[in-house]
Amino acid sequence: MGKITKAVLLLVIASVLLMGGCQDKKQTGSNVKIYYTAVESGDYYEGWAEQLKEQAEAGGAEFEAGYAENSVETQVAQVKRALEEGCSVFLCGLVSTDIAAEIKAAAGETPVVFINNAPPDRQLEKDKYVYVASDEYMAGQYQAEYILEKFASKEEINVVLLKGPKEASGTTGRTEGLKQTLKSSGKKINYVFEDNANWNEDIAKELTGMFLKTGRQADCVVANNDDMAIGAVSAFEEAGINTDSILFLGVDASAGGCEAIAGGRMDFTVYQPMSSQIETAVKTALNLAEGKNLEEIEGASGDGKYILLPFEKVDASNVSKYQ
Amino acid sequence: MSKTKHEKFISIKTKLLGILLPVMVFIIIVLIGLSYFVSKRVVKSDAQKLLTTSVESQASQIEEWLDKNLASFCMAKQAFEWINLDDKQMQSFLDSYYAFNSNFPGGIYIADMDGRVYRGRETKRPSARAAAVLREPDQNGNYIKDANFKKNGKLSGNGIWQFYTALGGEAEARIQDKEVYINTTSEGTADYSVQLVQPALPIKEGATYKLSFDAYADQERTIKTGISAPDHDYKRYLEDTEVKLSKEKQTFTYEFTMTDSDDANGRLEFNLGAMGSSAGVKISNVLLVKISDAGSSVNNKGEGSASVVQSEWFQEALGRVNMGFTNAYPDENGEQVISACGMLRKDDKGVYVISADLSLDKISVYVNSFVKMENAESFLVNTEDNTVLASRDTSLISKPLDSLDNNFMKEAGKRISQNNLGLAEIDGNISVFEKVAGTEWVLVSYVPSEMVYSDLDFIRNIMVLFGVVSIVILMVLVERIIHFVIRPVKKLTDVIKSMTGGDFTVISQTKSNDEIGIMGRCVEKFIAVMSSMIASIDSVSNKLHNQADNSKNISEQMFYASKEQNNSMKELNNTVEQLSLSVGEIAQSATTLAMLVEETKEDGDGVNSKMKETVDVSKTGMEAMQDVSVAMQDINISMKKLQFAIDEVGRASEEITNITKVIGEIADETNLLSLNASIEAARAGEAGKGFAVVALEIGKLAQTSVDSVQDINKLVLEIKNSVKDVVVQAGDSVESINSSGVLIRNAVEKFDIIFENIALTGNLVQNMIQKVNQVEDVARNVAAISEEQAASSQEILGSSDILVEQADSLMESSGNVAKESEELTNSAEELAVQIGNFKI
Repeated sequence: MGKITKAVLLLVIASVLLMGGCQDKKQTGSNVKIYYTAVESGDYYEGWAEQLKEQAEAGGAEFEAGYAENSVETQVAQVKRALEEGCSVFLCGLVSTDIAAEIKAAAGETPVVFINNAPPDRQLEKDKYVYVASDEYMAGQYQAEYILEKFASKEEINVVLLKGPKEASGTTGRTEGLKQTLKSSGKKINYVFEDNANWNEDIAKELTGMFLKTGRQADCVVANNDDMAIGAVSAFEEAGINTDSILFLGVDASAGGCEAIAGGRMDFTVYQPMSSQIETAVKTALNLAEGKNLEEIEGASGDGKYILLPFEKVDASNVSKYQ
Repeated sequence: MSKTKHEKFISIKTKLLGILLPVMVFIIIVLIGLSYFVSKRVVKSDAQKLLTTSVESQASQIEEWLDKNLASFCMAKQAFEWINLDDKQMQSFLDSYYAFNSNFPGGIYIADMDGRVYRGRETKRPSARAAAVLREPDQNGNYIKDANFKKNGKLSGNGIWQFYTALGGEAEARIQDKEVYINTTSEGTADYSVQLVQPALPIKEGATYKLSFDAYADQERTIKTGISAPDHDYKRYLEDTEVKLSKEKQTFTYEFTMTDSDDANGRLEFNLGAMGSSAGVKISNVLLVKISDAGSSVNNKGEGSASVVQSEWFQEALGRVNMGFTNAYPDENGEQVISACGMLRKDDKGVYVISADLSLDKISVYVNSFVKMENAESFLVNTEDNTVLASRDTSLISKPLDSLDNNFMKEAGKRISQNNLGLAEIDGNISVFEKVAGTEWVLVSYVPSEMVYSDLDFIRNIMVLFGVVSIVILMVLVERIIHFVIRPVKKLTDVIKSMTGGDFTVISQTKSNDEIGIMGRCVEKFIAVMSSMIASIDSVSNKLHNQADNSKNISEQMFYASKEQNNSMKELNNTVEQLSLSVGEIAQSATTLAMLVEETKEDGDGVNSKMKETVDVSKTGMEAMQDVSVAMQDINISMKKLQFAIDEVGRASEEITNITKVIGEIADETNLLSLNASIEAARAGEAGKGFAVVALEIGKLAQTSVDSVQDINKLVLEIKNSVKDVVVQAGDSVESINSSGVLIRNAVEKFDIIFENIALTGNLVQNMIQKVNQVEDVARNVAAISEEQAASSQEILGSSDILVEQADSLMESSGNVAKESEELTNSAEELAVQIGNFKI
């Protein structure tokens, strides 16, 4: 009996020591290598790469970035090369949302954290292929909530909706959030004008100008981003229409957007916290590389496929914080 | 033994089978169950995946189709926006789009805010839509070639007119005198067993045709005619029609309208097979003419109207610049269409709307026919108002899901309005929802779960069958294996059984090299060892038997000898006993006598002592009586003295009385004297005072003396009285004492007499006792002698008793010896019998 007890005790101690040792090894994270393949070069994605690098190095991981220049072939080749060089996790801004499967195949068993562009839901897999992004739906929802708050007394609301490019995840998510929230209010919502202005201020302005020619009335102009909202405001101003009673809403809290809110031209936007996206993307990548769970990460969805970060509401009362 | 025999015999085989079979059956059932549930899951998830893939592909096809059309519209729109056209140019531009594409045959149209619509019109140039090139008829409008059978000869499978036989049909067709004669020898088994045909007839969609021909037969009979489409599964444009022929030539006429799309290869058929008759048939003058063409062409919708501005497409178009699709709505022909529409970018102030109508038919085709899963169905829903856009059940189109009397549809509608578009099982249907990108549409695909599981039922049945078969096979196999394996055991069992029965002549004969083989060989060895052992035991037991017989005889003889001795001893014993008894009786008698004498002597001694006591007592009594008499006399004297004393007392008290009288008188005088003295003292005055006191005291003393005298007197009187009483009483006592003295004197005399008598008796008793003492001595001697004799005879008896006992035990012992030797003999015999059981 004594011998057996001793043996068991020894075994337990040995295994505890072993496990402890293993954990020690993993925590260093020194051998984690992150590769970021971005959609294209340019200020926007290079800015992303820079910040991702900072975060990765702070977490003790190696970081390298590549720019696919909107080419599917380049992106796949980048992923394959990085894999050969011993990359342990990918950050991927998809050139096209349709090539998620190809990227996954190229990455083999290596986990991929998608950012910037949303792959189709069926291509995601818990703890392996994860999408980190702002909760686009929430952006639309916040816009709708603002409208409903301002027009609480109205039974019928005429909405001009300026959308981003078709199929863009920002367009569909934000539009759906807006429409669903408005629909569930029970009010009669008339989309007197709804068109794709492709994130572009000039197109938005032109389209809004065309809308104004129809003579229809608008209570608010909702845009999927700030630029389009500003374009719409310009169109109204050029047509000499008083915009005091009309709400202009955007998304992003861009410098122009914040300025427009501060100047009273726009009414509402939502802030997309890019830094927290970057921080979370790197954290997710490190966790995946080390085979850890994602549950502890804030914003992780129940199915483990998404990590969605909240937007923040910005209006005249708090715009100074974001300028 | 009998108990164990009643215990149920269960063979090893039964036991093994009893254990193995249930285990096997259990394992197989578990395996089958497991694989069934696994397959069920797989089948279900496969079905779901297939359905999902199917609906995704449908949705993407719809999307693609919409995008494709939208792209063409956008191109057209861009052209309009870039090229500034005047009205006429615009009209011709629009005309060029008319019937340009089968998806939007009406082309593109443009409207302004006043409700003016510019539409394309049908032009003369060949329609791009006509897929088939249809040849023209002859100058008579007849599409049949060689209608009058100009050239005589036999018909075959080639040429303008073609003749076929099939499926047992035997016939010949020959043209003669501008008619064809068909002579049937065997009518075959199908109507087309005998067939006259003209192919390549152009049939135009929407047109109405008339077919006519002349025909008659050798005898009344029936044939069939019709126009079919060999390129389209022999679909019938003119349905097969029975034609009743008589011997007279008749003209037959039939009309039909072409409902399918244009076909350049219509086929006129005359079928003569399997009609119950093989009578010859003659046909001539065949005509196929077009009576009327396709219905109406699209008309221009005329000038500005408010209804245009209020129309769905116009209102929707005002809401966008980039073209997009409207909801489904019925156009002026009542057909369900969707419009792609948007505002035209024009420099002038006016607002122009460009639109094109797409028929929903094509989408219906995608929805209804492109379902990739068997038994699955789809329908398309517009999420804005939850109405059905396309469905196989055309009655559902344009109806809201909620209004349908169908739980599945209602639940689907609920889920769509809640934007809950996950995979679900609704009302027994596995359902998948897929949004059609770029639209507000949701494509719903569903398949009844039962259908999915019907395959599973098949798998289950196969599995059950497989299970049953494998159980049966395994059962047989196991049974055979066990049988084969334990056969040596069975043999061995038989060997052991016969060994148990004592038969050691058996041979086990096992050749196997396993445990059972070792067992068999060991048993063989055992048999050999036992055989030799039993043989030696047998010889030993034979010897033993003889020895036992001998000892039995000897012991029997011994037994008889000891029996005789025993009897002799018993007789001797009886004699001694009788002797002993006689002596005993004598001794007893002597003792009894001695005892009697002794008792008598004791009685005599008692009487003697009593006598002596009595003499002593009576002597004492007599002396006491004499003392009493003397005392009586003393008392008498004392009494007399007492009387005298009392008298003395009387006299003395008289004298006392006298004396007291004197004292009294003196006291009185003293008293007087004291009185006088007191008086004198008073007279003396102060000097006499002391004397007065003395006088007073004397007076008092005198008085006291008087009183004492009186008291003494009283006392004396009392004494006097008492003495008087004493005197009386003493007188009485003297008298009674005198009488007692007399009595006592009498008593003393009597005592004297008694005493003398007693003394006499005492002497007599003394004599008697002396005589008894002599008798006792004699008796005592006799008793002592006879007792000694009795004791001796008792000793003899005791010795002879021991002798008898010893003889008894000797006899018993020799009896036991005899019995044991008998048992020994029995055992030896039994041993012999037992050994006799073994066969060696």
